[in-house]
Amino acid sequence: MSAHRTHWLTKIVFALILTPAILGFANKFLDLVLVVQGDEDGAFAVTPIVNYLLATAGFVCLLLWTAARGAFQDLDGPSRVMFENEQRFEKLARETALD
Amino acid sequence: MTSATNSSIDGQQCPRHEDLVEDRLVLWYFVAALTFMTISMLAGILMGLQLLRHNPLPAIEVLSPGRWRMVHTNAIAYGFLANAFLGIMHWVIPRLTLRPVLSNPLSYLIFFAWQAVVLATAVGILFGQAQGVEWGETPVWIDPFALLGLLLVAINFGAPIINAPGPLYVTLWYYLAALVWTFLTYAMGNLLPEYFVCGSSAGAVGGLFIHDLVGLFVTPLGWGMMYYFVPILLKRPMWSHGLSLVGFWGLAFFYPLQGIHHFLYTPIPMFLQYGAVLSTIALEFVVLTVIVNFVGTLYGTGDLVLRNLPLRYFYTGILFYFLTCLQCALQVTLTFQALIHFTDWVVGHAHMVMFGVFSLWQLGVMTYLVPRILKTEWYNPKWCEWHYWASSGGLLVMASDLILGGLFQGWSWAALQPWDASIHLSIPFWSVRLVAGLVMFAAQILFVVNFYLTWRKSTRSFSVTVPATGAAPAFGQ
Ligand code: HEM
Repeated sequence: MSAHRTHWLTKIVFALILTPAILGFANKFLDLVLVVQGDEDGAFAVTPIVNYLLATAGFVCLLLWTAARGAFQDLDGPSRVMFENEQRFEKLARETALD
Repeated sequence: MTSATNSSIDGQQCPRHEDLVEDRLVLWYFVAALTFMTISMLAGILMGLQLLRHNPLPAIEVLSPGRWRMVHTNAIAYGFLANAFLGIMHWVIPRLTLRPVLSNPLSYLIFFAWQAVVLATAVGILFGQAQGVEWGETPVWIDPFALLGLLLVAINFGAPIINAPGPLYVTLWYYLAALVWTFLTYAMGNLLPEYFVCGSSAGAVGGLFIHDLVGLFVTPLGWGMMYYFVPILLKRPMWSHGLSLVGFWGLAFFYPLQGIHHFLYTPIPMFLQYGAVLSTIALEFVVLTVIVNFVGTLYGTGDLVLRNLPLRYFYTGILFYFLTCLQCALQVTLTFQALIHFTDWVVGHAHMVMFGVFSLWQLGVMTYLVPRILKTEWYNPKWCEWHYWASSGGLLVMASDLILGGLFQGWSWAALQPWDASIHLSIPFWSVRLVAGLVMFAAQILFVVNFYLTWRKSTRSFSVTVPATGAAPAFGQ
């Protein structure tokens, strides 16, 4: 598969996932604000949401940091490196076995 | 562990396998995993017999069925799955990062500590000390030790991953996240409902815990493992590493709030329930990307799945994963949930994902690694084939039977028939489940015997350093 095709496929899938996610997230956040402001009985719902927000905030930071370090520039690079290293392990093992 | 000795291959430096991986520990973890699997399955069989009103151990409080059920689920999660994952990580992480784990003595300490924690959990449960959280039944006094153990695991494996030069291969992303998630998930599920929250709030946290245990501990370790072994066995890189990263980040963002989909129609506010439904649907897309990627990687070499046993295990697991996610898509709708909640549909679903997916993957990895580590072919390769067919066939029968039985139970309740009627109609389904379970159990015993005899015929001595991978024996390359 060409790098070009991999690229646009990834972008389409990304958009497919991100659009509903952003909409869902905004909607949920609005609900959270309403719960915190109003109905006391509903306030317990804050626990799982705060849990989620904390986790998500951490992941957003991690994602930005990874992107800043260039992890998304050569998307298939790590896969190639891993595969070549494994082939080296095998070759070395075969050589050692023959010695 | 000695410092990495470099050898020059194609002008490049590559550490030797034996300087990176502690093969003996990998084997020990497999032995521990299979021991706990045997215990867990025995407990499952006892529980199955109890449901058919044939409890072979009546009137013994310590061995009462409710306690056996907890031993069944806990021994599988923390005894079998966790041990097998830890063993496999000892192989995968050093080879991917080209760095050994932080400390070899620490690895051995963790191994023994982990077995002590799992054994103490089983004994504690049998003696009635279970904590009132599903899958968090570990007695309260063991929780701090378990958390310490998880922290040490994260440090020991985290060190080589963090020191590896980036960008990271997707397996390492999954592993790194799982190391953090597992610790946090365990702390959340075992500590929050015990000490900090109660009522519906504790219920919501409990839902989050059981779901995250599957999604943030078992799933990332399972997929991380697949992204490593599948390309190696297929001798080609993943179809798209970019797409695999979409899968990873999708899991990271959509998984954490899904737990509440276990509690539809409860007093938890409706908007939260809808939120969980929404993020579950989003995750279905993510799952699709992962499956497309693995099918894409296989494209053009499909016949290998028929000939290569570990690959067959992997792709059978992927097929079951697809089926469980298809089930999820149905289950998460409120209409369907009204029918199947509390029925055996859910138990069928749980067995399909835990055994049909993750256990089959791990058994496939064991089938591949054991001969490589012991440097000899399986004692009886035909038994390995039998192990595969009886495990996956038994599971297929068990899961289909329970899923179908669950539908009948749901319809019976929806028709407002008396409770007894639903028990009555369940008996044939529970009988088939027991037979399928016995077949699965026999398959695992055959595997254990094969493992033992293979080890016995192996001439490899672990006190002497010898090359760990060699002319690959059966099922390998
Ligand atoms: C010998 C084979 C097995 C038998 C006979 C068996 C039987 C059972 C029984 C009777 C239950 C309780 C169901 C209920 O409460 O109505 C159960 C629950 C469960 N089993 Fe098994 N089991 C077997 C193997 C396994 C394996 C290998 C795994 C995982 C790898 C597993 C995972 C589970 C889980 C997760 C549950 C909890 C389900 C829930 O609460 O929804 N079982 N099993």
